[in-house]
This record gives sequence, structure tokens and C-alpha cells, in this order.
Amino acid sequence: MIARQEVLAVLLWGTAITSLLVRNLFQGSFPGLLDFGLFAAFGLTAGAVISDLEKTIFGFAAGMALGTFLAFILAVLPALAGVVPPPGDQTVYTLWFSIIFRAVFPLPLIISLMTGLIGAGIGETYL
Amino acid sequence: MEKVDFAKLKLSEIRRLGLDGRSRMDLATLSRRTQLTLVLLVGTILISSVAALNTSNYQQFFPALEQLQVKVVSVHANANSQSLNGSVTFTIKNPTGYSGLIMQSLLTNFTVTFTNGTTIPQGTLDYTGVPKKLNPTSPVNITLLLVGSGTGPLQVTQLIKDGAIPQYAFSVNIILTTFLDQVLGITIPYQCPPTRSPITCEEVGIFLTSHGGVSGGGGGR
Repeated sequence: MIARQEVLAVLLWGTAITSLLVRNLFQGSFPGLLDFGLFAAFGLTAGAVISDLEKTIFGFAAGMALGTFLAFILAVLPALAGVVPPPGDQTVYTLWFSIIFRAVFPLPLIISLMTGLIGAGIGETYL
Repeated sequence: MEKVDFAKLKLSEIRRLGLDGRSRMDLATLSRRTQLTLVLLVGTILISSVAALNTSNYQQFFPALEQLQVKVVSVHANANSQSLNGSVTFTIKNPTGYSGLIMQSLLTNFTVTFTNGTTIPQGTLDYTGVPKKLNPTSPVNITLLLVGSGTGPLQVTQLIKDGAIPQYAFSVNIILTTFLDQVLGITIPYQCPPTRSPITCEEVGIFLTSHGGVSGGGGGR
């Protein structure tokens, strides 16, 4: 049974991942040390709210998928909205796919998963 | 469910229903899990607010590239056999609200054309000085000296002596530094028609150059 609080935690986790990505990428930088700390903080908190190791793994997958998908949509919105007409829109899609992949893989992905699991462990033990 | 007619409530009833402000939600009474959810919510709202500002600015990035304006605001020459002995001033304006564009350099090819159809190439004019920020609605002026190259100035001088009227045509390439600089170089070419007076140049397209292993492409109008 999935509780509403767990769904909310995954949605917030995904939104936070999107925000951390676009905050950096739209300024021309890849996530740095501060961002890794924020990824860890959000992972820990979300994991603790979910408080279940198995659910946290699924929650992480869903949150990361949501986060990167939303970041990609925000990045290619000018192409989707027709502001960048063809054939330039294809370049925008390819470019942002590569940039977001480079930004997420591997450190933010690993940090989010590990801290999510640690958070779930803490949640299971203490909450 | 109890219906409440607020107009008829007595003070004791207001207190009983907890509407007097004394029964505010006490965070300490919430479960730790709910408290953590609230922390996650507040954190997400804060980081999303910062991200929203960057996203809003980014959404104007492509319109800024498309609408970047280049104008020849003044051009004059007093040619002799050695040099055209003149100058041209370009104005570059970002008419959008996007902030983050920087003009790295401005490369120009120019020709002198005459009303009789003669066209004499005069080589290049480059601005590679201090990069200029193209802030929203604050135009940047770039003045370049018109010198000419090879026998160009001499030919122009002779044609002017013969009564021909010179006009100056420029092909301008603006090389930009943007937030995508790590992966993509952006050059915007413009064509400025032959002129002796202020004129707006036409954007030809947007050329992208791949940096750092990310594939790029070209776009145009």
C-alpha cells in the first residue's frame, strides 16, 4: 500500500531534482559541490519520509525520472513551442539530452540513490 | 458535519470551535514523518523559486538570439590612395529581456560599391577587444576604422574623383559567449546592404559550433 505522504515525497524529490538541475544548467554550469550537498539533503529527507528501503528504490527511480524529464521539458520548451523552428529544434533536443545526461550521470544519480537509502534506513529505525 | 453560521456565533462557541487564533497548528504535535515532509516541501519550494527565475530568463534565450539587432548608425570615409580614412559605427541591441549574452567579437567583411555597379572588396574589420555584455535594451556601440586593403583605397579614390558615389556594404559575424559556451559556440551572421546612412542589418541565420563532444547543428531563418 502506498501512502499519500510517500507519493508526495517522491513528487517533491523529483521537483527538487528538476530545480537543482535547471538552476545550474540554465546558468551554464554543471552541478558542483554545493549542489551535490543539496542532492544529498533532498535524498536523505525523501528517503526518511518514505521510510522503507524497497519503496525508496522505486521512489528514487520515479523521482529521478520525473526530475530529469521535467528538466528536459523546460529546456526544450522553446523548441516544443515553436520558438526554435525546424531544423534547429532537433539540435535543441539533442543538445539538451546530452547536457542533462552529463549533468545527472553519475554523481547526482549515485548521491541521490545512496542518500535516499540511508534516509530510508534512518526512517525505518527512528521514525 | 457541523454547519457554522459565523454571524450568530457567541464568544464561547468561537472558542469551542477553535476559531479565535489560540488553536494554531502546533508543529511539535505533528509526527516526525510529517515534519520531515514539511521540511522537504519548504526546501523544494525554496530551490524551485530560484530555479524559476533562471528558467524564466532561459525561455527568452532563443528569442534573444533571433531578435538581436545590428545597425550601421554611421559610416563615413575620406579616401586617399593609402587608406579609406574613415570609420563605421555599429549598434548591437538585445531587444528582449534576456540577460546573459556577451559579444565576444565582431568580424566584418566589407566592400565599397558604386552606383555604376562597381564593387571593390576592402577586406576585413574585426573587433576582438573587451567582450561586451548585451544587456536587455542597452545597446552597445562598436566603432571600427575603415582602412581598406590592397589597391582598394586607390581604386575608390579614383572612382570618387570620376564622380562616382561610394556606398559601404558590410557582412557582419557576431561571435557570442553564452551559458552554453562549454558545449556550443554561437555565431550570428548579418548582411548590411550598401549604404551611406544609418541602416538596419538583416540576420542571416544562427550558426552553431560544437564544443566538448556535444553534437551541434545549424539553424537559419
